[in-house]
Amino acid sequence: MTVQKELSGIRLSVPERRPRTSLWRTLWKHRMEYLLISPFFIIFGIFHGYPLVWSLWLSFQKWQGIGEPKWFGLGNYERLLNSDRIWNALGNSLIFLVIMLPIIVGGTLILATLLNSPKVVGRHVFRVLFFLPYVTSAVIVAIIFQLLLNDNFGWVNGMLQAIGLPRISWLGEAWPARAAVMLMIFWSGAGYNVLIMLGGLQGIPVELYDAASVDGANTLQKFFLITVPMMRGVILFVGITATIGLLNLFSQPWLLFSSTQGLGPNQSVATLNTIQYSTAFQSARYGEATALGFIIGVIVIVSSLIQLRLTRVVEA
Amino acid sequence: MASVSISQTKLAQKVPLNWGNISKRLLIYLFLAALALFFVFPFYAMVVASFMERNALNSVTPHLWPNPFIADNYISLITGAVGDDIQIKTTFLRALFNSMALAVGQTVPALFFTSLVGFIFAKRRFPGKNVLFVGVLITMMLPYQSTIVPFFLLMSRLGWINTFWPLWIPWWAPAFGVFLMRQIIVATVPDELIDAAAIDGASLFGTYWRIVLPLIKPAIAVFGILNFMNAWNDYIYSNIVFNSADMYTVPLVLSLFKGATLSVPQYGVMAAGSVIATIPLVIIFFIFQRWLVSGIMSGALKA
Repeated sequence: MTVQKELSGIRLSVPERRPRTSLWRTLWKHRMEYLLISPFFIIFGIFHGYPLVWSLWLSFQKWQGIGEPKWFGLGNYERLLNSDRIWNALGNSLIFLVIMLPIIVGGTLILATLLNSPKVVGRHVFRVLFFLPYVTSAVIVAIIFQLLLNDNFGWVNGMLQAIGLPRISWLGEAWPARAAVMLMIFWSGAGYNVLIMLGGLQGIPVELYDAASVDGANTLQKFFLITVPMMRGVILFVGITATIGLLNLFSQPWLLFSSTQGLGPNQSVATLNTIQYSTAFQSARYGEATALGFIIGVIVIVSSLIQLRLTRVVEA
Repeated sequence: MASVSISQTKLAQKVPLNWGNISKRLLIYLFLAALALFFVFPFYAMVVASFMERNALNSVTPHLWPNPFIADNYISLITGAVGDDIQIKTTFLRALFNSMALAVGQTVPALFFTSLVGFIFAKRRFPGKNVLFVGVLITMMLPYQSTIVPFFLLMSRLGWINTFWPLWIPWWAPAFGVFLMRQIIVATVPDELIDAAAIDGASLFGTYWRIVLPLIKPAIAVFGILNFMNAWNDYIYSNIVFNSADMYTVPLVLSLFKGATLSVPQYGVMAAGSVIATIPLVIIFFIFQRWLVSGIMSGALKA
């Protein structure tokens, strides 16, 4: 929706056709604009534009950082798409997405609804508490979660044992490892999304709820018949950013399972991003790593386009 | 407001206590309290662990309170004497200084460039504007993974490894920042003010500096804080361009502690470092809490 608005905004300034000599005059007339945006665009071109083109070129080369890159055609892409670790990593990302997307979207919407109710005393305190983890560095989050979830000395296992439950090998087995990563994701990201949801909730006219109360609607009915439809745009926004974040998962597995380069037990938490980072910066297989980077880019863009399309279908 | 009115009408109907309502509220508080515990407990563990002895942290039964209560973790962190098994040649104070330099040197120019370019894009027409803006939008949509390798290669060829430049200059021109600033200026700065300034003979830069900047201060604060936090916490880029102890930032030093102590975890020292690294952000967060919260909340309305 934003994109559409953007495009119509851009249209406003279609350059007029004029004889060639006056083009220079027009450019000269706008010299101040060009002067003021030029530092930005020089930096932007060198450090964001040029690497993008270089990256595309490099993804068709075979190059390990030494000597000249060799033309490899689609070799890197072919090799990646035929590799089991890539499909395994995609499977992991899908698991994270399927489990965490509803939890993040639904959970933060419910939390925000609770925190938006003026009946809840201390909601400002809760807001701050939920948001604080977002401020904390991923490295620190990983340290804390290792301290809590360590198989032998972890506090969580100690507490589980104290109440008579079996200890869990959080960092040593596939599903507990995934659960640990998902706990980290929710802990560090929920607060930000709650704030965005709260912002949306405060834009809903109070009269809608009042009218519903007069008609005798209960809390649940109001939630599903007013809150959810009115929040469609915000829910979509949170859904898309959460999807992008989940498909781009890097810091949590990489830092929590740093001893295995973010792969985790039996590669159970490996993602395309952790594989790319170690392919590039530990194995120096630059061609393969850039190709993988473009695969990640395509997956991310396609999945957000699908979500946009889906909601448009639902809305229609 | 809505919910208040229900409870009022209900109270009017039945004067005796409404037990259904009370138990519902109790349930909500229990739920919120459980969640609050989930969000706070890891911080509690971090703070408490930073005052604990190594033995207490490496025991099978967890200690939820430091006994004895020691400051050794902080002392060894500050003096750089973190035990013989760790090859950390830098001191933590140096890393704190590096992180601060990185974050400030990245954020302040970024605020200037993005707001200036955002203003020109929001309020001026000139040939080539659309092409440039579409270019910005395209790079905004691609995830960083697509360019991180050439980014690293470019930095090596420029000889910028182990300098601040890789984390300063490219981030002075963030695509998302320009997009955000343009949106905000379109929404909050009226055209009449810009025109009036032009009639008064103000230059383009003068208009930006004296009219636009003061009007978008809240947006500058929110974007500035978020940018500062991201820079302060950066691991992905710092890790590939800093490999000398002089240049290590706090996240890098902490991740090195983590990597170096796998056999005998030094959680006490790591926790102390985490506490120190989190304090500046928590202070900034509390000072600007109102702006930050309303800034993030209003961002959603525009989406």
